[in-house]
Amino acid sequence: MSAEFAELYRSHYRRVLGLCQRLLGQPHQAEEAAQEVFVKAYRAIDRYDPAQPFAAWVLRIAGNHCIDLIRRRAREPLGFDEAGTDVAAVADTAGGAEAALADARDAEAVRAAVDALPDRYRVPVVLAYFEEASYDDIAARLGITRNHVGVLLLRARRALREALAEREVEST
Amino acid sequence: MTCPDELMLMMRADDALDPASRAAVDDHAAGCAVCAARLSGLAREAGVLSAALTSTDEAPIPPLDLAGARTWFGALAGAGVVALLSLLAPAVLGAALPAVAGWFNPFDAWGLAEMAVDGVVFLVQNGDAIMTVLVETASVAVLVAFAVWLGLRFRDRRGGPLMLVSLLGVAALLPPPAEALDLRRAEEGTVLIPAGETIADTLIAFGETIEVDGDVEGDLVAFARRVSVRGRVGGSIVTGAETVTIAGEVGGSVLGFAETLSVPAVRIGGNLFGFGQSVETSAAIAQNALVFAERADVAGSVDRDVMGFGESVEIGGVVAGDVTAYANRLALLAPARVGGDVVANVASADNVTVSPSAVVDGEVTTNVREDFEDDHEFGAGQHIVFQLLWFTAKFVTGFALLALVPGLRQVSLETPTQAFLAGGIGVVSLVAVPGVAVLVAFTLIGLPLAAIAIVLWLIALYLAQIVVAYVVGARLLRGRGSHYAALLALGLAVVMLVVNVPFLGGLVSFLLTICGLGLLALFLWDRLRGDRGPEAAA
Repeated sequence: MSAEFAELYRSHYRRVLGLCQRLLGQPHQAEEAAQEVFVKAYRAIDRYDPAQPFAAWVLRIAGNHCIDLIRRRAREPLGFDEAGTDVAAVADTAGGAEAALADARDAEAVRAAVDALPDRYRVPVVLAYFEEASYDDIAARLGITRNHVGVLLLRARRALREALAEREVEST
Repeated sequence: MTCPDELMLMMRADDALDPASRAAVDDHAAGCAVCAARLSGLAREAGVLSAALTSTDEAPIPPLDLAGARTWFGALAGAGVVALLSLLAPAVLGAALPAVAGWFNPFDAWGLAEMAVDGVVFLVQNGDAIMTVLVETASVAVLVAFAVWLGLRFRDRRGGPLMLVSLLGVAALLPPPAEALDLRRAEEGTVLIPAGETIADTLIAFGETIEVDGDVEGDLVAFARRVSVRGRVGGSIVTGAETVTIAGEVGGSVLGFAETLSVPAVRIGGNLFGFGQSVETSAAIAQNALVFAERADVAGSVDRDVMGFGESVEIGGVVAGDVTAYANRLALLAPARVGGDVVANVASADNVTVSPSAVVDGEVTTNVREDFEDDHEFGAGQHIVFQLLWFTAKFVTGFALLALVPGLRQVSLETPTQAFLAGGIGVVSLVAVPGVAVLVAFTLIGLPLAAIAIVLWLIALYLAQIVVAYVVGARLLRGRGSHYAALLALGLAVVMLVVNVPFLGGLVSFLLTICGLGLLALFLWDRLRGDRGPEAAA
């Protein structure tokens, strides 16, 4: 292993581990996955374009690796594209509902709420807000449409708002 | 414009709308305080999510383990060690190898050549029947490989229709076109087809125990620890297990790999190909019986020829054609009756026993394989020279290949599924290329194309083991940053040892070749599609 790669590993490991933890939701699996991601990155290093940030490249590998792992461990299809996720089914809610999440101060609580989401909602949330992948990119990787990504994200956010609001109520 | 819904607003806040919709939402929000507030709330929400998710713990950074090989690769390495030992043992101990195993000895080059010639003669005589079974087996393998591949590749909504179309397409090419597949799987339990149940299709079953008491109208493919077939199977049986018992009627052929393969079947419509420690049959076999086993016991009737390889071959039934044995011991027990000749290739003339009441219409020829002892030193030297040449040729070719096509250095087999997939594609390439070439050669224009295709196919066959060897080497020294030449050399050494394991080497060599062919095919396919690298893998 070259010294350069060792340096890249040291500086990006935590970020990759974080993404794996958020995507997989299981610490042990995440550590193993993070290692595997760097092995993959190392083997593909001659395809890395140095003009691009290494972080984005390695996070993308990590995202895809974890999606594969999730798909493999799932006993049944994850249903990113399950019926019943059309836009009409996502009824509009009153304005201001987002405050529970938008004003959340406790990052730990937000992470716990994300971890508790089912795979099908957690994966797009983490890809969108951790890996900062575009809707089109997420759509292509999960094999669904862009609008569909939006529907999953909106449902996920509503679930998160509810979870955080409940927590708020419990703690007061 | 009425107020956009929350989905629209969220997608605007996440910058995921097309330009027209974005402009419409922006125009609206400019004049609608409620929507403007919601937009900013949603944007804040995204910011909070992003900040919370990306905040990292000060987790300790473990050393990067680039060498963590998986279990099955460990097993392969273990097999390499065993192969090395099994190769070294006879070389070091010289004549200490028991005479029983004489003809198994890989150093006995002359014996092998003779066996190969006999094998070719057998193939020429019975090749059509063997090919039928091989093609049938390959077709089933293709179907399964396709299903697995599609299942893995297209999990999205395109998967369903694609899989359906491909399965229909491949199923249409199968010899019995009306059949479909019935896949049953019970990892820990029993797959049971009870008496009275009829499977109208081909049945593919995996499990700890498979019991087929009912009828299967198509083929039966069964892999488990224990396989027992008491019902009727209309097509062929392909099975692998510790113990296999086939006691029902079989319309097609039986291809069985088992420690104990017992075929007290009523009737086999095709051939019996049995591989195992002990293979015994009392069935009426309408075609040939080809048995590779330590103890081969053919007590039923065989309408064509019997070929037996092993420590002991016993014939106790009626064989209409010839009996050929490569064994330490051949016995024709009462009430054996052989319509053709008996050729016994045995360790000693005393080892051929013909019961007084056994009848041989043709001649009994006994070839004693004494040449082994005399030629041993020479044979061993020749063998080592041959192996060195093999290694050097493959290494030089492989080195040039990897230098010229650096992309090949990225080829890898990460999981057994990938190995299975590569193997499946390899089988397809192995069968399809010459098949298509023969078809194309019938047209005048196609003739040169067919010739080119066959030459390329032969080259690919030669390269296949090199590619697999490189993958093996890369896997064993994963992440050490070793030069690809070192990985290639290590892999070739392992492959060389493994394919030289007596008895199993040929099978392993075949498996490695189809795996390599599959990897090459996948690599070329990736290249043609535009290689997007692992970052586009999902």
